[in-house]
Amino acid sequence: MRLIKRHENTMIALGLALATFGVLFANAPELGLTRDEGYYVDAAEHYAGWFRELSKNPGRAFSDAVISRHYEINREHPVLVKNLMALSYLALAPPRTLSPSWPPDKRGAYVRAMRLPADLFSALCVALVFLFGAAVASRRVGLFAALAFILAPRHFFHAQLACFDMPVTLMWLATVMAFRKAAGSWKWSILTGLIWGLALAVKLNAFFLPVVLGLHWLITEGRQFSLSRRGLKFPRIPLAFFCMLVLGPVVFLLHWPFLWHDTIARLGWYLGFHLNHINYYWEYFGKLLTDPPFPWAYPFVVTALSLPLPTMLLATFGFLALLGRRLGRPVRTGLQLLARLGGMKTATVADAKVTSEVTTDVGKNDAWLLILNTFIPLLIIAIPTIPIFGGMKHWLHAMPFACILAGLALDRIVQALPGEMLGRLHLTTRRVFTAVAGLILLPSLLGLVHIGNYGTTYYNELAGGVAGGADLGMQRQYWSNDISGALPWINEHLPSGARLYLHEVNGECFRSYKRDGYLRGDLRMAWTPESSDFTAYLYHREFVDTEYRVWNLTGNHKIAHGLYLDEVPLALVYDLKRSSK
Amino acid sequence: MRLLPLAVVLGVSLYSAGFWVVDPLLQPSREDYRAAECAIRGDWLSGDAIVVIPWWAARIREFVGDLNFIQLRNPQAEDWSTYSRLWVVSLPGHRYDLGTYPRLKKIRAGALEIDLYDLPTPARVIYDFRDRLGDARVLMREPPGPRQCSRWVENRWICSRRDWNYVGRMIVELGDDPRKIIWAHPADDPIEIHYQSVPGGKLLRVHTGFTPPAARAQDGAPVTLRVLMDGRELGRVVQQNLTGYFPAEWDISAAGPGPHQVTFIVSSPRGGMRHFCFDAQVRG
Repeated sequence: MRLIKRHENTMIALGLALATFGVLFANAPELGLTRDEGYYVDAAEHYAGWFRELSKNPGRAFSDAVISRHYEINREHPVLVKNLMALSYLALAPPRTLSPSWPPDKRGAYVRAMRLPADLFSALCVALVFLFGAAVASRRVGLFAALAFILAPRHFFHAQLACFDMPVTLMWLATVMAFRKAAGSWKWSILTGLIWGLALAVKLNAFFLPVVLGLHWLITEGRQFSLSRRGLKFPRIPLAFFCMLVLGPVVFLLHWPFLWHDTIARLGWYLGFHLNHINYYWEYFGKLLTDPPFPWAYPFVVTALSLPLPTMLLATFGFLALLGRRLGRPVRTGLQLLARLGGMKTATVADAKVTSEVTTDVGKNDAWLLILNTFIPLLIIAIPTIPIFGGMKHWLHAMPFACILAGLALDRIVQALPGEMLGRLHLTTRRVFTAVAGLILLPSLLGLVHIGNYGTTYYNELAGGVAGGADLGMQRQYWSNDISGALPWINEHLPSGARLYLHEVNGECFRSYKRDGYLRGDLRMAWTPESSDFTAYLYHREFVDTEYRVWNLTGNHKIAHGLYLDEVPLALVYDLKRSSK
Repeated sequence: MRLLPLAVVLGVSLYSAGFWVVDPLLQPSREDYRAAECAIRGDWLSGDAIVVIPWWAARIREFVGDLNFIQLRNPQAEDWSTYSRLWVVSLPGHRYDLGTYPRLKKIRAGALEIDLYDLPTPARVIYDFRDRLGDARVLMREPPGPRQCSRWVENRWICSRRDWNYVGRMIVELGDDPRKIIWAHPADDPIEIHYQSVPGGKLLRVHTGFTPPAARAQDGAPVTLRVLMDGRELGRVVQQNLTGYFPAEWDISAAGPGPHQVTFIVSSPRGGMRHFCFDAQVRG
C-alpha cells in the first residue's frame, strides 16, 4: 500500500494506459481500415518476411538483396511502427486463408494484430500526457489533460489506426519530457537523443522538434547572450542537443535495414520524397484547395472546429494566459539583448522589472515548452507552401500540450473562485475542479459515442457537428474507412460473385476485408463503377465525378442502401444492374 | 467578476453536451422519408423536379431517386425554364424558401418539410442534342483530312485510344453542381458534331463550361463553340477558362420548321486539359 502511495502518479499513469489500451484493443475490429493502413499492413507483411529470414538464416538476412526484397515497399516512411506491426503479425495474426463459410467463425484477428502496436503507442501517450501534466502543474491537471486528449473524437480515431500519427505524438512528447529533465544530466541528455532517434524512426514530424527545442533554448537562455569587448558570449548549449545530434541519426539509421546499404542514395530518396511531396486536394469552406499558397489560418480554423468546444476554449484561455504572463520576459530580454549588442549598459533595460516578475504556477521553462509545442506544429502547417492534406493529424503532436494548457486554465479558473464562497457552500477547489472537469469532458465523450468509428466526420459544437461540417464544406472523409458501416448490408444483399467497386478502398484494404471476415469471399473487386455490378461511393469532393459516373450509367439517382450520420451521407451503395434495367 | 470565466466555461460545456443529446433527436426517421415519398409520388406529374436542401442530403434518394432528382447547391439561382413544378425537400435547420415562385402546398413529413412550387409555363424542348447524341456523326478535323469517330461505346463516340478523346454523354461537375452535358474535349484540331434532321423551333439554347480541373490549368486556352444551322453560322461562344454552366441562345424561328442540319464545331488553340462540355436544346 505504501508502495502504491509512493508511486501514485505512476499507478494512475498505468491505469490510464491500461484503460486506453483495453478500449482501443477491444474496438480495433470495429473500425474500418483506412487507405494508409492498407499500405502499411501490406508493408508490414513484407517486413515480416525479413524477420522470418533473420530467424532462419541470419547470415543472408543482412545482404542487400534480401533487405531490398522485403523493405523496398513503402520506403517513403521509416519502419519502426511497421516493424512492430510485422512482429505483432507474426505472433498473433491468423494464417492467410479465406474462410470457406459465411458468416466466418471469427473476424478482425488480422486487423487487431496489425493495430496492436498503435494501441500500445496510444495508451502510452495518454499515460505520458498525464505524467507531463502532473510534472509541470499538478496531478489533477495531468489527469484532466490525459482525458481531454484521448476523449477528443479525432484523437481517439487516430489512436486506433495502424499509422504513425499517434506514435509520433507519443515520441514527440517523450522527447520533450526527457529534454525537460536533461539540464546538466548526462543520463537524461542521452535519453533525449535516443528517444528523438526513435521519434525520427516513426515519422518525419520529428525533424521539426529541434526547431522547437532550439527556440525554447533561445527564449529561456536568451538573456545570457551578450556582446562586449571580450567578444560574443553564448549561453551554455544544452548537452541534450549534442546527444540528439549524435544519437538521433544513429538510431534512425540502425532501425531501418533498407538504409544499411547504399545509405546516402536511399536517405536522399526518402528526404526528397517529402521535400517534393505532392499536394493532395483538400476541401475547406466549400472550396477545393489544390495548390499553394494555402490559407495560413487553415490549421487554426480546423483545430477550432474539430477539437471539442469546451476543451478548445480552455486550451485557448490557457495558451493566451500563459503567453501573456511570459511575454513580458522576452520583450524585455530582446531589448536587453539589443542593448548589450549595442554596447549599452544593461542596467538601463528593465532588469529590475525582471527580478520582480510575478511567479506563476508553471515555471518559465515549462511554460515555454507548453507554449512552443502547442503553437509551432500548427505554425509549420500554416506556412502557405506546406501541404495541408490529412487535416489535424499533422499537428496531433501539439494536442497533448494544448490539453495540458486547457487543464492549467481550468485550474486557474477554479483557484480564482472566492474562498469564502466555496466555504459557504462547503466546497473545496478540488471538488469544484472535479465536477467542472467532468462537465467539460462530457461533450467530448458524447461526441465520441455519437460519431463512433467515423472519426474524420467529427466537427465540434461550434461547427454544428457532423452536419455543420458538411454545411461549411469542410473535408469530412478521405480515408475510406467509413465503408465498414456499409459492409454488413453488402454481405447480406449482394448476389453471389457480384463485382463490387468500393470507392477509395484500395486493393490492400479490399483483400484485408476479405481475409479478415468483413467481406464475403465470393465478391469480386471491381476497379471502376463501369466494371461493377454494385458501387459503394464515399463522398470526397475531389472525386465527386465517381458518383456522377454512376448516375450516368444508371440514368437516375436511386440509392440501394445508404450509411448516414446525422443525415450526412458516409457511404452510398448503388445497384448498377437493377437501376439500368 | 471572478466567477465570469467559470460561468463561460460551464455555459459552453452545457451547450456542447446538450448539442450531442438534442441534435440526434431532431433528425428525420425512415418513417418520415416514407411519408415524404408517399406525398411526392401521390401528386407527381410529368415535368416535375425534386431538389433537397441541403444539397448534400442523400437519403431521400433511397425513396424517390428514380424520379427527376436534381442536385443543386443554390436552387434559387437555377434556370427552371423546362420544368413545370418543383418539389423542395428540406431537413431540419435547413428550411428554404424559393420565394420567387408561388407555393402550391406545404407538407410536413415528421422532421422533413416538403414544399411544392408552381413554376412558369415551361419551355417546350423539341430536340435535346445530348439525348440524341447517338444519332450524331462526329468528326475529328485533323490533317490530312477529317476522321470519323465511328465507334459508339457506352454513351460515347470514341475518337482515339486517348482516354479523354471522345464525344460522349456525361454528368460532370461544372461550377459546383453536376450537369448533364456532352463531353467534347478538343484536341489540337477541331471536333465536329453533326446532327441531321433536327426540327425547327424558336430558340437554340446551349450551356457551356469547363470542368474544375480544366479551369485550374494555368495555361488553359479558351475553347470556341461554333453553332451552324444548315451550313450557316448561328453564332459562337468563346468559353474562357472558367468552370461553371454558362448559357447562350439564338433565335432560330426564322429558319422554319425544318428538318435542319445542325453542326457544333469545338476548337481551341491549345488542346491540353480542355475538358470542355456543353449541352444544347431546340426549344419551342
